[in-house]
Amino acid sequence: MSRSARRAAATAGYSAVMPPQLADQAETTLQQVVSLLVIFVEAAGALVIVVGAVWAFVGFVRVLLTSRSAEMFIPVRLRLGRFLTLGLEFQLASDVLRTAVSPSFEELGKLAAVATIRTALNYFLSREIAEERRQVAEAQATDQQAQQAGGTSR
Amino acid sequence: MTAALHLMAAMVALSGLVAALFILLGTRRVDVTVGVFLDLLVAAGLLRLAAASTWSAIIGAGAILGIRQIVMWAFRRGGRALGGWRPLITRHLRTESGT
Repeated sequence: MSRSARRAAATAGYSAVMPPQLADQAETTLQQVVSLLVIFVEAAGALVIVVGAVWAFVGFVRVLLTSRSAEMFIPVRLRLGRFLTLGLEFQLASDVLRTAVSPSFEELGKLAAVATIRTALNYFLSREIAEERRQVAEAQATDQQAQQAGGTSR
Repeated sequence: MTAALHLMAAMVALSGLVAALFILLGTRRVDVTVGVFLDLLVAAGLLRLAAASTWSAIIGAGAILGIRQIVMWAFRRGGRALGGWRPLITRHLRTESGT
């Protein structure tokens, strides 16, 4: 079914409860508002990702200049992961909004694929953040125990 | 907005390449280098996906995600295998030398 035919059918359905012209206008307004919202939310997600990438790049350079220990890169990567997760949340929100005005099955298929990729990445990043946070906490606890053991033996 | 997003995606990918190169030269740790490079490459892929939801961008982003997961899993597994074997090797060497 073409877009105009589907729109005509939808308008015919709405006409049962409101005049056809008003229904047509309401649908057009809804599409415009949702399209505008999608642009805003998508731009916010992209901005968060760009800020995270720039922040991480500066952090990597700073770690390289101050200490070249590999462990010092973990907090910077964790922060980048948090930024990416937040950006993904925005982008997923825009995907959900976009499904409200998607006209064809192909676009719906693309949205489903994009949403799958974003959801999978969000899941993996969250898991990695939790895992690396656990490792950092364990390393700190081991350091504290070693310090306490050193203090009591003196 | 699409052109700006494509430009930013390219710049983030380039920054990932530069950062990875310097980290490799500074630390000589391949796992850290690849991790940083893939993280920034994923960020670039997400920006490209936000710019245009074409099938090529979708497949590209999916491929980067898949490669990232496989590589990170391989590094984790390799590290764990080394950590698991190292005490056994040390114990064996101590037994051999009689200490």
